[in-house]
Amino acid sequence: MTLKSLKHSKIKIYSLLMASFISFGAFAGNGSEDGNSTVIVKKIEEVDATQESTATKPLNTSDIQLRFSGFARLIGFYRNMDEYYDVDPVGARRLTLPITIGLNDGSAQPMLMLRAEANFSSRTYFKIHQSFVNYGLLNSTPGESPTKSVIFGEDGRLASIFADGFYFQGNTHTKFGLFELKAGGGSMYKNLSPMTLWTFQYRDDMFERYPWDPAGGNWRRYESYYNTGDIPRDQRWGRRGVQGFILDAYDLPYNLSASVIYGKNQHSGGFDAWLTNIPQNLFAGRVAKDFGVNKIGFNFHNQFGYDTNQRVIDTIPFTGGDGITKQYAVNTNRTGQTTLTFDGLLETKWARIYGEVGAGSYLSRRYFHEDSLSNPQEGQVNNWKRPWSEMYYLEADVNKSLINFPFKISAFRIGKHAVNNSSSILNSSVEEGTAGRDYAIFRDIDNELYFEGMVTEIGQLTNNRQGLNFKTKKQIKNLVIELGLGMQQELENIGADTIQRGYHNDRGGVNSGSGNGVTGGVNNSVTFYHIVNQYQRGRFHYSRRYQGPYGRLQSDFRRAWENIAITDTVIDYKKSFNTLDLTLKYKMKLAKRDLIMSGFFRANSVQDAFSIVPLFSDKAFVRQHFYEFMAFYKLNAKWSLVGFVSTEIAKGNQRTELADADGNLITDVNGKPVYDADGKGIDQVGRGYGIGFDYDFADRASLDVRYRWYTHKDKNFTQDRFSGQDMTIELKIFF
Amino acid sequence: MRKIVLQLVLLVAVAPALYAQTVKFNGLGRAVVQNDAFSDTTSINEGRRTGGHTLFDMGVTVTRDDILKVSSVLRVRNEFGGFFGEGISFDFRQIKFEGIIGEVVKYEIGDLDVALTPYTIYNNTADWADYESELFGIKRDLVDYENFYTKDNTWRMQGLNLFTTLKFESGIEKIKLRAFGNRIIGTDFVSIPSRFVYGANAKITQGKYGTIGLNSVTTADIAGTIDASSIDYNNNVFTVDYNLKYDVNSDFQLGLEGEFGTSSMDMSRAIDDTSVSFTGKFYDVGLKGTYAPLNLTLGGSFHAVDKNFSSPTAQTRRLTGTETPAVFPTYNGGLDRQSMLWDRLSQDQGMYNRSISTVLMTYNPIYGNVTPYGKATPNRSGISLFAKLDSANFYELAVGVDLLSEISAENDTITEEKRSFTAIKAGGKLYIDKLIGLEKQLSVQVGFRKESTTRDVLAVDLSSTLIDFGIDFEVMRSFHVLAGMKKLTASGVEYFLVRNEFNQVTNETFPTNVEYDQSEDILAFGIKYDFSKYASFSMQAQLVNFRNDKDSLAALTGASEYDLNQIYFNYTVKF
Repeated sequence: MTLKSLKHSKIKIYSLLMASFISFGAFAGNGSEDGNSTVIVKKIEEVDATQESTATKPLNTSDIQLRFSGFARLIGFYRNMDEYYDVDPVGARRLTLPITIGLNDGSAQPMLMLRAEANFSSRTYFKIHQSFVNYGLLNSTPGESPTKSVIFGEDGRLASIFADGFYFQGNTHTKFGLFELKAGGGSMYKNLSPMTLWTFQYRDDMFERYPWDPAGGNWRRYESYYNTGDIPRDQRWGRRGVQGFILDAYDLPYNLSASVIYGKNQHSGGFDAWLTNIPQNLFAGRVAKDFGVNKIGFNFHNQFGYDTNQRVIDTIPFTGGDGITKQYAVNTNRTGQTTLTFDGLLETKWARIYGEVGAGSYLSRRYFHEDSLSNPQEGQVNNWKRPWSEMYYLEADVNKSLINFPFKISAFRIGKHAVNNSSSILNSSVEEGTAGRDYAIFRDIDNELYFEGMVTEIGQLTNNRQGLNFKTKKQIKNLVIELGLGMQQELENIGADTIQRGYHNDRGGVNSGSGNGVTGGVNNSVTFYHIVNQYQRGRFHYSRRYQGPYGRLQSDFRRAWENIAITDTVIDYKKSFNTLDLTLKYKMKLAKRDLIMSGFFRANSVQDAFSIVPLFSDKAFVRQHFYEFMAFYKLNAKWSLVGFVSTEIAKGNQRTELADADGNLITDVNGKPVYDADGKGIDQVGRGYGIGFDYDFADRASLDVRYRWYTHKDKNFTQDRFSGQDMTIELKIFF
Repeated sequence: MRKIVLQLVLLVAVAPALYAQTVKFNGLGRAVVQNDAFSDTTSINEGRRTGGHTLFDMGVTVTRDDILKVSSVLRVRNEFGGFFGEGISFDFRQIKFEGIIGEVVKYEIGDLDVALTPYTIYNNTADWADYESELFGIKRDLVDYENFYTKDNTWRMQGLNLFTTLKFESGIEKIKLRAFGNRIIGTDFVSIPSRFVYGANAKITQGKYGTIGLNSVTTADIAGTIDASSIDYNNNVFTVDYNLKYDVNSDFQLGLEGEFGTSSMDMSRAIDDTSVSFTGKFYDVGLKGTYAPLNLTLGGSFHAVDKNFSSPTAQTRRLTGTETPAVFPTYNGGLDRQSMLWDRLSQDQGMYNRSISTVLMTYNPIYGNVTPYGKATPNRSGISLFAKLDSANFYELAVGVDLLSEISAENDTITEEKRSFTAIKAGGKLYIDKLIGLEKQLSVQVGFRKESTTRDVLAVDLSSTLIDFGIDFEVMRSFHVLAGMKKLTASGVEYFLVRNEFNQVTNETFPTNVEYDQSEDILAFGIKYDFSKYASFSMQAQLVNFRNDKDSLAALTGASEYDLNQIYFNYTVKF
């Protein structure tokens, strides 16, 4: 029997009833109070208020006003590469293929950023930054429905949360002070102190258009760069994005203030920790006391938890100080990055002095120590020994009242165990210091937070390092001269350490994109930052290491580094690092219009002995020179022309990894780079040229066009080469 | 200058008209972070997890006079630990259109929260929680909101409502008329037809003596929405509800309230050419008296519901009690963990039922066995008594007793022995601050529920006790220190009933007896701060212990026991 023809006469009854309702309404007219019966439904809310209403009432309509603002940023992108790396195009967002055309420069930045905010009361506030993109990746076969693209949503559409934008805030005034609680997701940007919660701000050239650049007022940016050496950037800079809860307290008794943070940042289990629910959180804070313009503070940061979804407890033998070996229970997979510091700011007539001092540590089963347990107790679950290292930083910004030319001098010393991926300190000594995940699993291409033998920028901090930086600036009429000198040395020769660090940089092998993994591991190496064409190179693949034809490239958001192995079999030295920055800026009139020219030179070197200045010879394991010239020409109040030329040279000596005559890496039978008298080190030349213009066609609105040519070539590692050109047309309008 | 002043005055005067509010916003925002730890008896390792979310439901209400009002809710949700676009979803949570046609008929179309009477359309709460600590309430509110469970016991449906009201000058004060139709299952275009709930209601109000309602609800598959249906279902419920009152004097009022009605269910199954029809009836007569000077209400009722009384929209459960929770779904090395009392108020998604079931859903009797399907629980008859006392904000007390039994021996076809059910519910809240003159709030609340089920033949003897305790101390203005406790113990034997597609217990699904010896303890303590009437922040720790001495492994491993501890942060704003 089929039930196709079932009868439901009651449906007809109800249909009739409903129809009669409407008919009744139609014939009842507008109603009046005069008759025996009156239709009284005249307001929508009237029926809602009755008990038997079916109104949808989880939310009550209020008079609270939402405010909307934001920006539209449309960026047309064209890229044509004559030579390019052979990198997986899907994972790399298809930006490694020869030609790319689209509304996307690979950054997943919003096309429409819509900020909605509201004050629920004088004490409560809400904000959300919504990001909408449509990259126009129509991905369908004629006659078929569009399919979902690999990276973005259907047809390249993606809705998301942008930057500092998804939180609720509550304030309360008490007799103890003002308390402000932020709760939310997305990224709530916050900093505490450079060694606890902070980010370092890299130098970027002024030619490239960045997603955080404002719209309009372009010439003011160039003038700001000329006058101060800095440009306004959004509030992400210098801060860390945090999810969870931030409690700030101001105006506390005794001029105290405080901050407490509980939650996650992107390194607390990874930026996709929501998928794993990995129990890895951060707890950080600061208590500060003001003395007028001077202040002191106590800062702490602790990222803690377990590197998997279990608290694994094992029993291990351990020999104590009395020489007796016993069995002890231990929290096997407990990890932690803990930093405790004091900082202080002193403003004097002649200088502004800032210092921070403290200790940092790293705790992990993957990070072995001479004594694996610290004062273990039987019958208790013990933790691994947590090694601590010192952290010092002091800077003095001396003004003209003391000496004719102002300068800034800073010194730091940070021990090898001090790991804090949430701080401004790059981790170059503990490879296991990942985003709180099990290094045995995430040791490979995902471990993007480790920079072995890092060549830092001036002012940038890293662990297992001490250094001295000097910066000065002098203006002679329209010529601005800025000089920076940095010198650093490792505190310990960790290149020879094959035990404590547990794992070694093996360059991935399978996942390197080229299969050029180093199975024997690289435990003494140099990592340097590619300055020229960093934006273009960074696009090859975000947030990965072991990329490129030799598995040496490491990248994050828009930047790329390269790791070069040192082949010394006897490592009886501490590597030393030097950087020299020289900037010359000049402003003049050309055809009665403003012209700003800027020249920048940087020299880096890494060698086996301390030096005050960079070495320009083969005594350096790796040396890098960068030349940049930019010109900005103001045609009128709305139009500006920009030009850009840059060159980067990087060379490795015979003690670094070498290539044979065919451009292949020379290794031993285990795949580990080794010395070879006939081998040749890296010898790279990269160049970038560009022209463009800015058109400020309205208030906070501009059209910016850039065209860039670029090349990179290594004479000896012949697979390492790329060249191409790209153009961006950016239309950005704030509202 | 005078001109400028005049222009300013005009601007201020005209501005409200220019910016007359036709679009209003409302919403709910929430940020939650929770850390969970789980340990059982078979491993020294502990399960650990961190989770949470931030979400914002933006309600937009567009109004054009009283002709149209459109309310929608757009949701943005970011899972805790999802950065840079990870773990973010944009959803469209609801939309509703309403308005008045010709100033006589109000219509509602879209996502509707529908309730009628306890025997017709009613979404019964899953657990008795009248006197639980606010710490549990914070989490329960979240679950209810996420699942569209409201305090009016509504079901979230999609469809149409029509209303109108007739007002009279004498005799009857007014008659409210309502017709509705909602889809509860959409067709798959192959074998499942669309299923609708539709009906009508007339509520007659006589101002002095109360109200009488006429209710009709049909749950039915709609032929023609597919070519060939595997099932055809049609269930009709007709009831009359009444709430009458009589003022004996200015202090004392008598009330008569209740409901009676019938149901008829017809169902056909194509695969084996089976058709069944059942009819059932019920009545519920209650009497209560209120003595105003003491705020004292005493009452009692007698009700009987046939075993075949079928009213899916009043008998569908929110939980079956056999769900596997999302948080730590396994224990003892991989065994499926069934939801416990803590899970029932703590999981924000995944476990809860939002659709109407035409079959009486299974349930775990230790969480409520007397009226598992609410007042409309079939096969029950007996009396209920209650007393409530509210002493001008100093304290409130309530006691209730249900003395029920089966009407028909459901799984004993030999002796026809019937089960007896007893439930005692008592609770109270004491406002200590009012008693001793404290400026800040200090209150204590206690709840107690004891249920027992017995039968001599095919022995049934199950008892369960649930105790709630809560304390709320406002140590500073708007800053509360809270503590709470729940304790559930259950032991004995009960039969686990599974019904077939025709809602019957048959030989194929004959009941199996289950032994229970289970205890659950939840301790909670925390703080709460109210930033304003819109927003509050709370932080709490909950320590949970579960022990089952009679689970399937007990014979091999002894008692099954585990602990689940949670630290929970919640910031919620409603506006």
